[in-house]
Amino acid sequence: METEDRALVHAFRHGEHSAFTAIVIKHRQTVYQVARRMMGNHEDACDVTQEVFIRAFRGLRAFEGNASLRTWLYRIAVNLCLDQRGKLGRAPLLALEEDWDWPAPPREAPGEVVEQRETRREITGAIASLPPRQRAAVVLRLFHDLPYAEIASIMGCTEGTVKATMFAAFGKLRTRLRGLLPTRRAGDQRS
Amino acid sequence: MSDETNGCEAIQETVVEWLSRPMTAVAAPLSAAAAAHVLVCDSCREFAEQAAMIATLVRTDPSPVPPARTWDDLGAAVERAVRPAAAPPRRRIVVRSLVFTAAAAAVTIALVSSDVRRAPIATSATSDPVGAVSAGVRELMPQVSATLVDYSEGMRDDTTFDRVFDRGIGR
Repeated sequence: METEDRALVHAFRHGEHSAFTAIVIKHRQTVYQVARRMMGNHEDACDVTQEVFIRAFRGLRAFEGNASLRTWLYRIAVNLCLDQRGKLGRAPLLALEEDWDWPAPPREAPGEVVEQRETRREITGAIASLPPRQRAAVVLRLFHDLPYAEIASIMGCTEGTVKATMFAAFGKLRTRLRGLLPTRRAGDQRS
Repeated sequence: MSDETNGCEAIQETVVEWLSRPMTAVAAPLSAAAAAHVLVCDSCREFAEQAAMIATLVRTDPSPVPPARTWDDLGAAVERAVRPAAAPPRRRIVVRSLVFTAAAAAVTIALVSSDVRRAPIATSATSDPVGAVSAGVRELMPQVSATLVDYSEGMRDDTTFDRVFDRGIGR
């Protein structure tokens, strides 16, 4: 576990309530982003984030520290999201332009901005169309750059399962994003 | 080599692993073999290019930024939810108050019952038992005077009550 997290957990276990506040402040952004990518809207992501930290507060005294605090928090978040499979399945997820607070847009031509947003809409729609576990693997792998071992720990499976899940997810994303991807023409084939 | 075979699928799984950071996630010999295959296999080369494109597209997708008040609301909500956990549980408070109420009630009952059981307080024999009743009334209702005497004696001896009732007041 990261030194700072270990110190915070230790302080919390010894009655330092403010240490928990520090943990929330440190990890809330990434936990929220995992939840937001998984759930697809701000309200559900907020509910999940809130529940993650409530459960963390109650479980932190029993937290053994075998995994990192981040892994543990992500595991709670992903499990909460997967528990809401029904919601994940029916979440609209495409009304993102209205829903998301995009970072300040770059100063491209308006046409390019529209095109970029359309591309983002397609990407997000493609990720949203994935089954929940594939979506979780893609979110943790591509958005959060977590290694397979950590994803396996979060999702409660083996590394091999994560790799297979990722491969299956890529297959679906290829189909869904075909219009955005380069294709090889016959003339491109190597001899 | 352009047909997608089981061998190609294994290579493509490795290609997906290449998209990890750091790239050393795939063992070097396997990586080299996969790379050699990709160079000569159109299907795998296309897959690799598309997979790289997907990863680039996904990674350049901006991170969602929550509305301004999100963290304040989140902090307050978490604080509200976890505060009762720090205080004694509500059930314990209720039990404690019930025990206190029961103890207070028991003490009160004990005090009252001990007062009831206590012998009547003796009064002075010289007190005028009939002073509270006018002479006119005593003349009209002689049994009232006798009862008042009995009542006065009853202060000293509670068996007098029986005699009063045996006499039949008012008959």
